[in-house]
Amino acid sequence: MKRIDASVSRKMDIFLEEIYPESQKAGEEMAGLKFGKSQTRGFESLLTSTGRFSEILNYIKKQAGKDKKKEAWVQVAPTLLAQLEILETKAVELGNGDPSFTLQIKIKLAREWGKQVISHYLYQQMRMGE
Amino acid sequence: MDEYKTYLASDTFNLFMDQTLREFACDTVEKLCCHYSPKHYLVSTQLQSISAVITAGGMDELTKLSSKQAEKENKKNQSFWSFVSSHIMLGSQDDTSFSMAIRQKLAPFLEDESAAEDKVNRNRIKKQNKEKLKLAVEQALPIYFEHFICHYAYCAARQ
Repeated sequence: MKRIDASVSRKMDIFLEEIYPESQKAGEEMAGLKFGKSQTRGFESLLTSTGRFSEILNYIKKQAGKDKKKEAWVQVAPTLLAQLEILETKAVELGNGDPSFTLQIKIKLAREWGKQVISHYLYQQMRMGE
Repeated sequence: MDEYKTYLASDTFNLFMDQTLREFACDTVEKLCCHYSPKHYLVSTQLQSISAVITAGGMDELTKLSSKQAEKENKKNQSFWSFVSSHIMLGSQDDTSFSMAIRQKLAPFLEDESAAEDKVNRNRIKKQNKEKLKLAVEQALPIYFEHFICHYAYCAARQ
């Protein structure tokens, strides 16, 4: 399997820095909603275990589908899905027509983005509890 | 056939299932549900039965389930299952059907039946194409319906 080279890796890092403010907003939005610890842990766990980008999108949609009270996933899903769409567009651009690279870049970007979102969600929750 | 099987296992086909097929599934759901009110949506147990039958018996089982459900009296469910039934039909010539989406992706691997010199060759090509299509469909079907079901659930939740 081809590996992502250093120059693409650097471009990914720069991109992740650029989208950081947006990830923070998503984390803040989540902190203002009624998310249980197990829900965010489940999301975190999926991000690390999945090998397929679309599984992350599908997870968010499925959780929104289960959110009968419309107090958590339904509210934040549009933000998360829109941000993932931006990641996917960037992955296609950086993958430069190579399907193998594109798949790897997509999942790597999604994992790093997820870390940003969840870290900020936890930080914001801590601040709200002060 | 070996080259074809390698293609089905390749990242080119994986990317197709991850992105192109997902966009197609979402588009299909949006078109299906655009005029739905909350009461039109199927209950989640009915939706989940799709994944269960695909895991148990692939395309054959899903075809059986959708035909059986389409015959039942509940009108809400009937229209959904009739749609699924025709959407997955292997020989469908409808551009918006699942099998046509797969067929279009596989076009470089399918031989032109009309170019055959005689009936024997035509039937042979037809059989080969059908086998190739079936292999790809069986591989893509679980992922396609994962996209389909999740997007359907999301559309229902947004109501």
